[in-house]
Amino acid sequence: MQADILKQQFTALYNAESDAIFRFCFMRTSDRETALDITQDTFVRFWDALHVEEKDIKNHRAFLFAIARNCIIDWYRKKKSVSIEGIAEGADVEVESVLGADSGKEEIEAFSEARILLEKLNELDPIYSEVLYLRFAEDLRPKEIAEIVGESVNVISVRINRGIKQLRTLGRYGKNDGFN
Amino acid sequence: MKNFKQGINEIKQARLTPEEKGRILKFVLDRAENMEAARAAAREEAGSRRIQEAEDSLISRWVRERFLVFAAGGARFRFAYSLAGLLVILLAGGSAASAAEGALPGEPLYPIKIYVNEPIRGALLEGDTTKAEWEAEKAIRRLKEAETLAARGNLDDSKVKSITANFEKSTNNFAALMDKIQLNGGSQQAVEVSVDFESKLNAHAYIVSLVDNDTSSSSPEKKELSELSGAVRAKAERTWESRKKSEDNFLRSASVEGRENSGEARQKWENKADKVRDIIMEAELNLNLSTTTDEDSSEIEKEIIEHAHGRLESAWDALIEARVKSDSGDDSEAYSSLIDSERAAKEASASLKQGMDLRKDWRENKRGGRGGGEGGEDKKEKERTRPAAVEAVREESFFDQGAVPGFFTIPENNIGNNFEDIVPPSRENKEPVEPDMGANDDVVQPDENRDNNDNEEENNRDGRRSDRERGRDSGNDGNEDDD
Repeated sequence: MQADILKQQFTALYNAESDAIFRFCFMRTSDRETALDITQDTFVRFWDALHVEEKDIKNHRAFLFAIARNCIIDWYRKKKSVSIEGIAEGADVEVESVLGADSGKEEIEAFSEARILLEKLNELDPIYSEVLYLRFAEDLRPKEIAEIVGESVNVISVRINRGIKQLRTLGRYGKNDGFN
Repeated sequence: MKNFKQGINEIKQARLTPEEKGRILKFVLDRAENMEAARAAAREEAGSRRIQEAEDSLISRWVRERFLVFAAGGARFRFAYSLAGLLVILLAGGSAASAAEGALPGEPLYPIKIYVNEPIRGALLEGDTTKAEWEAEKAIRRLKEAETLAARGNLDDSKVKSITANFEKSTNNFAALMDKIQLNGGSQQAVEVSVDFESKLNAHAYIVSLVDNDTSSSSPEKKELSELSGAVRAKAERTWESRKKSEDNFLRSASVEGRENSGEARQKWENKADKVRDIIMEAELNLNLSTTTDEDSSEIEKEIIEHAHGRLESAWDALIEARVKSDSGDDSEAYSSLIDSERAAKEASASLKQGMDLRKDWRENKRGGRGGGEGGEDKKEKERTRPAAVEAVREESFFDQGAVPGFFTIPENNIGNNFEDIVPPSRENKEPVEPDMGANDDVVQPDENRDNNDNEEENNRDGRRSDRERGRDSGNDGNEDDD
């Protein structure tokens, strides 16, 4: 009985967060299949943390992102040891595959802005692009991002600000361009 | 001009497809379920280990108590010492004692099993029926040991003799206890214990005779085994007689009761009949589970399954007969048939179980070459190939250690090249004789690496040979030219 309740809770959380986690993984890995694997891995680890290690988790969302981030780091390490070419090739984000397999041409047109933004984000130092992504795409508060990245709130705030500045110098994004 | 916010909003639309979403969720939940099941199994195992430990400590407590009584007596001081030694062994080797439970004659722990574990367990029991049950259990244990040994082909003369002696002892004790129970008026429980023992004896008499027939007639244990088989049959017979007696006793007293309270007696009978039917059905289920289409199954297994089918059929027949008799009002006959049915069903399941337990041993023994010509060759084959395999492993690891590929392999071949082939190989013919070094350096997979090495070694060898021949040829050519 209790197991059923746990599963129900988990399923609710999964339905709410899986897209965001997947998106995060996808932005960082640029490969849909890898992102799917890492998403799965993230939720497996999340389940274990909840029900095996019985950790007391205050902010599930932040915790999930933290796991995903670690999984991605692991993946990078593994990947580096396998081949260096792969990373260079995979550096370009394929926006087409962001949209899922069933997206048509028109939709890709509509996602041109996302493509440009992602390209710019990729040009940034990863420590900035990461916090910018979490702050603006996933609407996480600096405090939550600090939890995920394992830095202080101050550091995160600074990174967000510098990230925005860098992004502006890279072009296209003006002062009244939607930054909060 | 679209802006940052627009880009963000677009990014936010990246999603999992419903199929992907469902797949990942299913994976996580299934995994959680499997883990839960695995943990439950582990808990169960831990639980049973605790029970075993509790039993062990109970035994050691018992020994301690007895030991104190002896020590207080003082007269048997030496004995107390030896018992203290035994206690130490028991306490230190609690696990040894439980490990001994599965020991067979000829194994180091077997004496602990029959001279320590079993007597202690027996001494802890209260009540004649329980004791009788234990004696029956011991007798059956001896038979199982004999059967297992025979199935493995390890049964020899002295083992059969000691097993037979122990078996006789236990069955005699059982009979004595049963007689005692009889004298005290008998009980339903005693009848049940007796039926149980009888059916097991019959089952094992059958298995022993099978094993007996299976062992080749020239083997020395044949005669002894036949004796054991005979003894088992005799005991089964005797138990049957004594059971009949106790049953009659019981029926007589029960029928008096029954007349006084026929409704209750009827109910009892029905319950018993239901129980017997359950036993038969369970045995049938086990039988169906054991009946495999496995091609590996030997004649002996087929025979056992056939036998079990036969016994179950008679069980059904007897059960129907019991019903008919009961309906016609012949209560004692009906009861007797019911017992026959129960016995047949239990016999079927006992022989089946033992047969299936022995299956592995039989198969291994057969494969080991005892009796089967093919099996013998198999074994020889294994022995022949084993050293070669070991050599291969050694070679592999030797080359693996050479972290620099070719470090160990090249010099050997090249020395040959340099010293034997005085005439240098002609350039255009020299396809495979490239030095190993360079080719291997950038190979990432260690396995491939090794393969390459091996191949090139071969190539090298071939190359060397052909070079030598070529060298000789060219030398000859030169001579002819001179002429």
